[in-house]
Amino acid sequence: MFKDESGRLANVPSVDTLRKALKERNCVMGDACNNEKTMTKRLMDQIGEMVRGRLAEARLSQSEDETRKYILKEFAKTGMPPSGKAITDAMRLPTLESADKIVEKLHRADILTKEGDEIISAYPFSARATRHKVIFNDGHEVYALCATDALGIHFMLHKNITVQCICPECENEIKIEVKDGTVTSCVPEGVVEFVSSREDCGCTAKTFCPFMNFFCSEEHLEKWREENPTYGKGEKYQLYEVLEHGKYIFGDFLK
Amino acid sequence: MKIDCYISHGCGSEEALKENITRALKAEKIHVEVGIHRISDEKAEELKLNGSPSVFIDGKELQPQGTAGFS
Repeated sequence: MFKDESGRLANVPSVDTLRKALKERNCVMGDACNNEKTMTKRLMDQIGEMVRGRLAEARLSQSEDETRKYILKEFAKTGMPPSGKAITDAMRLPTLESADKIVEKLHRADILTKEGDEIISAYPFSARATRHKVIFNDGHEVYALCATDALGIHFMLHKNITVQCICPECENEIKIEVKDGTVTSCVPEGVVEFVSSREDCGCTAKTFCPFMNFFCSEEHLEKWREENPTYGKGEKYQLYEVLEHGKYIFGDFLK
Repeated sequence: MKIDCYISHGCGSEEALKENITRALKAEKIHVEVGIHRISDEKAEELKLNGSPSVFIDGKELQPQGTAGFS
């Protein structure tokens, strides 16, 4: 049993008790007892804020934002982005150039990525095969840019999904079922996500996403980190934390 | 920094514990590795744990569980 701040007993330590212990420990670790200086923001929080921040900073007009949502909905339906003509028709834009102009603005804001004239991804979707396949109840499949994005799709679309990933260490399949906001099944048990803290500049899809993967177990992750020292620096997340981040980043992405 | 939680197989506190840890980390805006270890009574005895859950921050037990048995 644990005692909370007012002396009451509980089966688990209270949030306040944990916060106090974390603060004390953080002060021991820091040069000075200055929490603002010694505490570090979580990597996934930084990435989440980056993705959401870019959307806010882009200051999209209503038409541009509706186009962004249309592209995401088409990705969700077919696994592929719509063509310029489809965007022009669906959004009732005057010309194909108008659609291209909006897509270019979304690209510059890192809301989607392009290669040449082709859209290749729009967070959280990828038009190209990745390690993270998302399967819907009706059987159709899409690819997510990373592990967090795969779970985030559930919250963005409010649809139950099965995520099939490949562990980078053993190349075996990981299967995670998400229903009504919770993980209902995970095979194998003990799956963790690793986010490599790379320092490259550029769009999130290219700098972070390829290095945000699920691993079968902490053992597989540690082995992979030893074998891949270039990417081995980073943070490990439990599945419930990944779910929370997916919800935070993509929960209102289509609202 | 690392948090290790040792929980007996029959203990139903895991979800509540994870939720409180998540909320505390979020409130403090820090990232730490969280290890959730489901262990047997034998393992608990080996580790000299007296309660479930037992929570350690960087190896230091939070409110050492001296009285209750590992259940």
